[in-house]
Amino acid sequence: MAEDKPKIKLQSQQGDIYEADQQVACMSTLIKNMVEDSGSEDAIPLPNVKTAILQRVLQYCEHHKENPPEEIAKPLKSTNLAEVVSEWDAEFVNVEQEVLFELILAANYLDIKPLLDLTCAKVASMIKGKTPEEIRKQFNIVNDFTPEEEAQVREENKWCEDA
Amino acid sequence: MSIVPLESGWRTLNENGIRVLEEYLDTGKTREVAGGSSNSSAAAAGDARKCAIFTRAEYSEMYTTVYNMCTQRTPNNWSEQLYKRYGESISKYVKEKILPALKQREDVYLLQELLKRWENHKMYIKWMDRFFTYLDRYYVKLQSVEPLHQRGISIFYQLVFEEVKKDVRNAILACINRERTGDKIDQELIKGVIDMYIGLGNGSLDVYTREFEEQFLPASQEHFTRQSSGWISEDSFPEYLRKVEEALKSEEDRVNRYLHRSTNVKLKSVVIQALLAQPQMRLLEKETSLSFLLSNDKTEDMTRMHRLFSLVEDGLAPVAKQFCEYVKGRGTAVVDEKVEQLKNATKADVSDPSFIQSMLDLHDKHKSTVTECFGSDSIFQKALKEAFETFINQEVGKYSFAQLMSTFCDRILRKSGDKLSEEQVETSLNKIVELFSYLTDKDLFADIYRNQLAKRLLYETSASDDAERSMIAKLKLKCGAQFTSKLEGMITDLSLAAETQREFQDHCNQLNDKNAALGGIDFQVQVLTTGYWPSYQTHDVTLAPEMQKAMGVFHTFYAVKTQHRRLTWIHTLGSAVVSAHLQKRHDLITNSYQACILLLFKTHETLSFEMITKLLKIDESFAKKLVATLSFGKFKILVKADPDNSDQKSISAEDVFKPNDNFQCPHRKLKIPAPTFEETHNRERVEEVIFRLYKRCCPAIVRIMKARKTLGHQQLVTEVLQQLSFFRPNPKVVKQRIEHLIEREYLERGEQANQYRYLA
Repeated sequence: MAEDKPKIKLQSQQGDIYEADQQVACMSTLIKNMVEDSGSEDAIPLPNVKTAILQRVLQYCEHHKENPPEEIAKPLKSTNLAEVVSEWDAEFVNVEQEVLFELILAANYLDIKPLLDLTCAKVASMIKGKTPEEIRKQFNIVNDFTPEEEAQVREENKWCEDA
Repeated sequence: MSIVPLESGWRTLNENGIRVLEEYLDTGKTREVAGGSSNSSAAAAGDARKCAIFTRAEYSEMYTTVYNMCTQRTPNNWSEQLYKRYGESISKYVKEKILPALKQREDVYLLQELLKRWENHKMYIKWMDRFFTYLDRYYVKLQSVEPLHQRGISIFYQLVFEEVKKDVRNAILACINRERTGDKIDQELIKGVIDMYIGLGNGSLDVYTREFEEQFLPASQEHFTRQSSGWISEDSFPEYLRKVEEALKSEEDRVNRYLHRSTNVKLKSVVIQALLAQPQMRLLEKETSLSFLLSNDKTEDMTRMHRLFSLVEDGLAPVAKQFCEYVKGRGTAVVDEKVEQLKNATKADVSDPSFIQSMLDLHDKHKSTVTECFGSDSIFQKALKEAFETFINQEVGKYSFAQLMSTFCDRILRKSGDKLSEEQVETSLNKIVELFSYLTDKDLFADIYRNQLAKRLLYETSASDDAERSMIAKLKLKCGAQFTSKLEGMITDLSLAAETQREFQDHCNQLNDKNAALGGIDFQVQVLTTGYWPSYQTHDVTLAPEMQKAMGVFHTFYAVKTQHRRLTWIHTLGSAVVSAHLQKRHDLITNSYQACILLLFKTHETLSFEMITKLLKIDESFAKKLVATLSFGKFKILVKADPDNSDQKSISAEDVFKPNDNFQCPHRKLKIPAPTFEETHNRERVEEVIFRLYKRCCPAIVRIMKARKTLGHQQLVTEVLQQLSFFRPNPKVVKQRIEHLIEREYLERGEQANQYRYLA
């Protein structure tokens, strides 16, 4: 029973402490290992995760504690993520780019594979089917290629466009 | 977020992580505790202390540092450097701490230290693994290098294990050797070290197999070979096997307790090889081997022997061979004894059941050995069969086994035989049929059996119809319907004959003057089918007129009842009751021929022997036998008229006979012994049967050649012998028959030597 086990205390970059059921927190492989290997009940410092992001991550883990998400089919079937993952998941990553990238980093840091997959799938769906110009615009990237360099890259990756 | 430079990041990892860990491994204490808060709290922490080398904060610091150092963009991505330093740290620790600690140790102390160091090392790499785990997720995969954990194990393997493996292995083998000779050893220690071998294989058993097992098995082989040669000279056969069983068990226990289970089969086969397979022949040659066990009914030891040698590849064959030889020896001894007895006996009695009974007992005994001790193993069943087949197809003096066995059955099935219950009869018959199945000349048995059955049926001496049918059913089961068709026919004939007789009785009752028609006699006929019954000698005779009349009536009756059936009268089997008035009235139960002679004296006071033969138109020598039974036998019904030579027991043509008016006997009914018509199965008769059987080769040869057209000699003989399943002629005989067929132009010799061709 989840209630029987002590709650895990997680401390964000800013020092805010959140409590989570062991089952929820342990969706993160990192936390799972720490709980297994260190006996104390101290809060676990997570200096790489900001409070706002930690909240969201915990929200995700809480939602999926009883129903682990299905593996996302690759390559993506559609640019509309709602057709690929559950409605809740699609809504969960329907956030500002800034937040999305923070989520990716947190998922990677905490080693939560399904969340990492979901957030990366979101980015992929934003790229899928777009021209380089559109992608640059989407992610606010300045084209720093010289025309010669660009021609060469295009040449090298011709197979990619044919496919 | 600020960039973490390599050296400062590494300093954090080294000082707050690796050094703390190493300190813990060296001293068993964590820094905080070593720094000394209070001893009681350290003790109270107990088991948890092991887990609490690092606090969660420290752990997080280590992980986060590595994470940051590995996620910084080039040129500040330190993944490669961290991976390298990970290995270097471990190597350094191993070289500086572990190797020197192992250097001066040997034997058990080496094992103990090594095991301790290995356990430490596992903890060391577990923590290192945790701290550096981010490398595993991307760097290791992208660069295709050894994962962290495996890298940690490889370092131990290369730097430590390679260094000490010889000493370690020898130490383990020495321990096992000590245990085999009865010492107590620290099994947990060995188990720990063996687990290290398995752990070093990182998922495969290679290291265990290569570095331990490949030495352990030959060492075991050597050990048990030594054991074997000691035991074999000191212990008896059963004792040796008991020790083998113990050894097998204790080696199995050993594997279960501290080796890997995959060794079990291999070790077992080494032990079997050394203790059973290699010395098998010498073992079986021991005086206390199988024959000793068999002679002394050592069932438990025999069961063990079977169990053990069944573990050896082809190990049962020599045992079965010995078993076969033993049984053969026992059987032949019984046969020889009987032959000797027959030689010395003045009067041999073919119906003495003790010999066949001892054969049945012999079979019983060894059959139960096969079932109880040898698990009904087919190789032993075959051995038993082979053994019995050798001596059961021998001649026993002038008798053949077939004859003795059939006579044994006769004794059981006859009224005058031993009084046996239904079950006893059934059991005996079952046993005899088992013995029968070993006979090669089954047809000879069938022939003799048929004669004896005929006697039992015709003279009504059979004890039980059910028993007769049961025996025939058993033979049928063994040899098929064709084999018993005649025997069955005989039984059926008899019930049909009874019915025919009833109908004949009815027929006679409807005749106008029944008494006169039948010549004033009671008349009964048994009609039998010629083919089913043995052939009987008949002698021409002029029957008494009464008899002729009665037979005439039957002929008429039978001709109406059936079509195209010819009746042949076998007077040899006939019997008659003749009433004679001598001193007083007697009813003489006689044979038909005897009756004819007696009836002559109805009309003649005296008759010379010559007259008797003339009147009856009967063969002289046969007539002599008949008259002898009437005047020289137990009951002297006729006497010579001339008192001077009445004592002489010879008969000449001129001798005159008359009824013995002085005959005295208290009984009214007398059975006059009949002359022996057919000799019981003596040698000649048997040979005659055999010759008849041999003639059966010809159709078999022709059948085969017709199908094959051309065939080599050897192959032909083999096939002929296969076809003739119920008797086995000598191949020489087959050759004779082949030549006979060539003469008669059924076959010709082929162009190649030893080849025959069929001529259509």
